[in-house]
Amino acid sequence: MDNIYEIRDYIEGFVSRFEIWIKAAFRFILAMITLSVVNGRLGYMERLDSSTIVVAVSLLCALMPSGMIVFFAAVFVVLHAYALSLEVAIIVLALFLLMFLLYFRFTPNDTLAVILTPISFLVGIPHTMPLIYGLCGSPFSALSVGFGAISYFTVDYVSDSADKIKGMTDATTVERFRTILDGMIKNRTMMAYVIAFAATVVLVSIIRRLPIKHAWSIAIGLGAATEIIMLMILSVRLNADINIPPLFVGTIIATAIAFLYKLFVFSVDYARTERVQFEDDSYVYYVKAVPKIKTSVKRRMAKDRKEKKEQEEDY
Amino acid sequence: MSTIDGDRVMLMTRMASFEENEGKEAIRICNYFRSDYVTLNVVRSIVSATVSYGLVLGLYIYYNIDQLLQDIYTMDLIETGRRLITAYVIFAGAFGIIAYVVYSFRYDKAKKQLKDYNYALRELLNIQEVDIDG
Repeated sequence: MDNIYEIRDYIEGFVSRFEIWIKAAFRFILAMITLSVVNGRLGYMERLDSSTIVVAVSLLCALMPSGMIVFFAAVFVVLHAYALSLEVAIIVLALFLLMFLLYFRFTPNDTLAVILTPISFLVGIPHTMPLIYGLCGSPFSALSVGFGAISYFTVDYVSDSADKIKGMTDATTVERFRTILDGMIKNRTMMAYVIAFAATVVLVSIIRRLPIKHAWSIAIGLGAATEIIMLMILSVRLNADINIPPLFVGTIIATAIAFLYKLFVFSVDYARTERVQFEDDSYVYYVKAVPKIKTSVKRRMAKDRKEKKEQEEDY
Repeated sequence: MSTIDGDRVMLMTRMASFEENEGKEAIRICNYFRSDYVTLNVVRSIVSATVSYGLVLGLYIYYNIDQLLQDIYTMDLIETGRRLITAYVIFAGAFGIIAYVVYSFRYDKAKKQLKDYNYALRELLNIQEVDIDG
């Protein structure tokens, strides 16, 4: 167990040392993955479907707040949808506008859920997001994760139905619009995932705040169980297309990831390590404020410092 | 040359940490009067709700355009208009109330954080005065 804390300490030290660069690199990689996935799944506008544009926009995202990745991803999706069909573009644009106007203006910090949830679906670990957002967010994060799932299923529908939409040459604009909107809104699998994910986030975030022992572990366990049970029930009730064996395997993986996340982020280390700089009349201070829980690395360092101090005093 | 005072360093560290992180947002919020901050954000939220309502209404009308064109001459337009306005008032009103609660809470929280910060600042001045007098 102590080894894991040591690894965490090393990572923490490394991250706090190169914080600005690591954050920029994280934004760049996330933007690259997101835009590449959008181009890979949709890619109807040839001009956008180029690695030069993806790299250029990702570099731009690295220098801007992380919310801009969501903005550019939304722009890419709408432009690809426009290249496929005007009706799809209108519906997708309306969906994104509604999300941002009604919800994300209140919680701009949660916007990353809109891209992290679809990415987790594509990587095959969608059940991780409700557990992680339940642990690090509030019950309202249920809406963020829910919107993330809606974004994934919208892109998925557009990607899967592209041939069908292109083939509707005889249909009027209104008929195409109606068919596409029906296909997106009446997606029962999407409904099942949105409901199950939202319930899991609410449950996990409530339980992990309870003043009980092992609240976080209990929250993860119950959250995983809730996800499985709700998705099983909803797959029957809504006649949704959910495969049960992958559901179990995915949830077990998600539980393992959530426990790993808990170890790195929550484990009794409530305070954050801070590096601050200030000055008074006599000194300039460069202070690193470290939480009180100590691992063997820090104990060794503290011991070394103490011995050195004693030696100096003896001298 | 004076020695480093541990208490003062701790206090200054906490204050610097606050200034670096949540303090920026708290200071930005507290630049407004409470009523100005809350009203501004409630108005913005109502504008957002209005645009969203218009968007959903537009999509609904376009989705049902055939049926609506058929019924337009038989439909009671005044009654329909009244219903649409009532729905808008309820929607925008509910959204405005939610915005009022959220932004009032945020303002109060920021105010409390700044109050604690000012208290720490006074404590720091006291320590410095004691140092000078000592």
